[in-house]
Amino acid sequence: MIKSNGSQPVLTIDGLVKRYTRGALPAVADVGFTVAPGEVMAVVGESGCGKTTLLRLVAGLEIPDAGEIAVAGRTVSGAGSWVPPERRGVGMVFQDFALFPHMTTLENVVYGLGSIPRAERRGRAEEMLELVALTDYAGRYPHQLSGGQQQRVALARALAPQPKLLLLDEPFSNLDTALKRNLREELADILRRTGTTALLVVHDAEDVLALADRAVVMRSGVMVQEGAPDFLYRRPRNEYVAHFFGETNVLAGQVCPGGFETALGHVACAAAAACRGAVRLCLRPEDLQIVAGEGGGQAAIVQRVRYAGTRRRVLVALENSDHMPCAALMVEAGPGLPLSEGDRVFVRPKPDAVHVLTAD
Amino acid sequence: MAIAVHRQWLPTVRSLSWGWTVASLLFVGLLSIPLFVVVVGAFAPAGAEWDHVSSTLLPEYLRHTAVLALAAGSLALVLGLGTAWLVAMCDFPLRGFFRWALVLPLAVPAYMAAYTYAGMLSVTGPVQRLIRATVPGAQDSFMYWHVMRIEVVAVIFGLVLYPYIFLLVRALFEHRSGRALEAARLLGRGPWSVFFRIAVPLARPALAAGLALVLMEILNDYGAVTYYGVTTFTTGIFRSWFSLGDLDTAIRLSALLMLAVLLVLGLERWQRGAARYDEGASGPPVSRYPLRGASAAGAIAFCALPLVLGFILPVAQLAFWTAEVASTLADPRFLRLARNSFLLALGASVLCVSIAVVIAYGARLDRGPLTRSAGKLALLGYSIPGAVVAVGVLVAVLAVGRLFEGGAALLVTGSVVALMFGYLVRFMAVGYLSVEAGFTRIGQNLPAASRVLGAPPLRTLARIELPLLRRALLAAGTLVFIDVLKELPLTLILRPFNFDTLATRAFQLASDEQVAQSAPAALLVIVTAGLVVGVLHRSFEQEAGT
Repeated sequence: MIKSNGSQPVLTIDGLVKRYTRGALPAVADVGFTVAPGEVMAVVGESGCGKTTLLRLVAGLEIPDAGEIAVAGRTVSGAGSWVPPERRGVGMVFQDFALFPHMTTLENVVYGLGSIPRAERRGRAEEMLELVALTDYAGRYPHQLSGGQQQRVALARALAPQPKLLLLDEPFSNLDTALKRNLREELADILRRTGTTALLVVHDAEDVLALADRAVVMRSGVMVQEGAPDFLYRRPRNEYVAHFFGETNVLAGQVCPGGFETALGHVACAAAAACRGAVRLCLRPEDLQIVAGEGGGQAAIVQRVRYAGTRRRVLVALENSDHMPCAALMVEAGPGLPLSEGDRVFVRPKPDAVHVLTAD
Repeated sequence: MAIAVHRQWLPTVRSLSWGWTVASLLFVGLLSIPLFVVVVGAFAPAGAEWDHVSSTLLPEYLRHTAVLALAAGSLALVLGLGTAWLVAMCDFPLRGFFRWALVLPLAVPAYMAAYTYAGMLSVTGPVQRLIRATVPGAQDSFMYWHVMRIEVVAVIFGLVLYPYIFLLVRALFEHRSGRALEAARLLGRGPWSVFFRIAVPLARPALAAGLALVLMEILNDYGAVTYYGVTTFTTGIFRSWFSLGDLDTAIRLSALLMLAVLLVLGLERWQRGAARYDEGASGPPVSRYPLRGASAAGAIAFCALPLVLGFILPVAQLAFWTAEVASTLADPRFLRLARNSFLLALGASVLCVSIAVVIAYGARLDRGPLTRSAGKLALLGYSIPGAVVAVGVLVAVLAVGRLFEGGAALLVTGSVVALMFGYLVRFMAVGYLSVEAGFTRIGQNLPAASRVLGAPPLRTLARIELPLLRRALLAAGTLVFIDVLKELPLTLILRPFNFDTLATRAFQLASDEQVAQSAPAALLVIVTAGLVVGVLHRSFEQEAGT
């Protein structure tokens, strides 16, 4: 049984396993975490990692092979019981929004209000449409709405019955990039204002950083790491998580006193004391700096310069990298230094910036 | 990481929507009883009559069936493939008209076409009279040609059944292999090379599937073969049951006929191999070969041939006969007949679609292997000839009758209940496939959204699925409606005493040498079916186009 403590989590998942075909690798393997009240939790990972399956298991749209799910302290799956989706008290925004095409916007929102008195349904639905700023579109049918409007209707419909937990399955994947940025802010705002506890499935790290309080990274059905977005960014366990949360350089290193021996020369790191032998190191582009003169950096040739606002991402190839294989590094550079392809520069890590990857 | 997976049966079983699963399995079970009964009955010890049938009549049945299958199948292949290629890949005047009109012969039941050809080609018919009047020396008595022969039946089958092949192959050329055909053209191949080297091999699965449908229709036929005096399995079944009251022989012949059908289906599967019917990408329409002059005229002639012979001529002959007996149209007996037929077909289609919804929704909710294979079992009846289904229903009903003694049994045999049950067994696939396709088009997310919003399965079905299924249900119902309207062998065996439909009445009048009197009933069936075939074909096209 799932134990509950003082501040009861809205969602508790424990040892969850789901396989679609007998004998095949599970789509979800031994996943467990909790979501606190008011928290927005993201589940991220490459496509096919099992994150959508996890969401459907929580919604009750799939039946797990093992493990437990509890929503607001009530076991909805596991220990011999299984609660159908219509009685779980969760809301869900589907990837394709799943608006009922034969109903108007208002009718879509009213549909989930079966548990409140008939007379109050319309009023509540109109409130919800106001929340997503779609009051003027109440009489429209889904096909008469833009993608962004459809998404807002889906959100209003899911929130209308005041679910204990809101599930969002790739809420931005059907929208174009320009629209996505606005809607992300809007969604974050609405979730905050309504104090909604949400479980969000996304494949884009930017969405996690913009929306989530915490995130679970999944790969091949297994949880790789769990934590706050900035923690996952700064302290990834392995290369998969590191790459997932943005561009990164991974260097091989050998432990030596006070740090590591790498293609960039000696890198000081306090964590080295706890390591032995060969390690893999993670260095974000902003953890490296380009210096003009030979100030203790490693010589490199500029391969490519990419502008991202005032900052620049510079791809460099280390000149003397025979003793440690390292083809190229991505470095972030400020606006000061003039840089162009073929320039000879010197690269060095910022102090204490290096992070050791502890898992494969 | 090692994960211990404990298959927890309890939650899994409890999570199923019990009621739906049980209802679904119950209906499937009920519908498969007749086929089960035939299979079991075939293993009972054989009587003396069977020895006679198997030694003297069976070789003849087999020979006739093989001749019909071979000749009619080849003709249907040539007509279906040829017209499909012309309509899909060539541009010529009237192409758009032929594209849909070539489907029309499907509306003509083979037995009705058979009566018209017997009339037109008979010794006293218009064709032979014209030949005798115009060709010198044709007056000699030995030039009188006897029409009642197996070759004529085979040609008639080919003429009215080729649209099965036409439809499947045309769809393949237009949607799925269009790009491959264009690629072949760009590689510098001429039209004949593209046709034989690319188009025909690509079309093979569609050809086989269409041919299988043609052969199943031939195996199902009773009206045409019996009218022309050609003995086959179906005529054997009727002879055993109606003339000799020998149900055992009827069961045995039914089982053999079922075996023949399964053989056809198995061959189709086997040759299809790895080829699949997945929905290909429907890009821009395929570029067509422009035909001019003689080749355009040739194309028009090739397309006109099956349309004229398979639809226009038979319908014209029926219309001519109907005009001759026009006075009988207002006869209350004819009106009662029409009402009988339409009500029966309507009832069967409503019932069939409703049950199909229950079976398909059960499978949709459950998605387990049991309900899924149950759905497949429900499809089996459609490939089984009507006479076989009827024999199965008859045996099952008689068994039930023995259980209850008297009253209850009479309620079943003496009413349309047994007949209706037979229709459901035979045509469930028509309803089920349409309904299932409709469900698939709706997808899983809309019902899932409804469930998450608090609507249990029944409410989800009523509020979300059924409104969205409306078109699919209508299409399914209409298809079952015309199938029942045209159905002959099953109706002949299972109808209550003194109960007639348009089809059985037309059959009986024609058998009694009152072929002109049979025409109004036949014409009514064909016109109804033709309208439905035309309208449905159009609406499917529009749906596919959007």
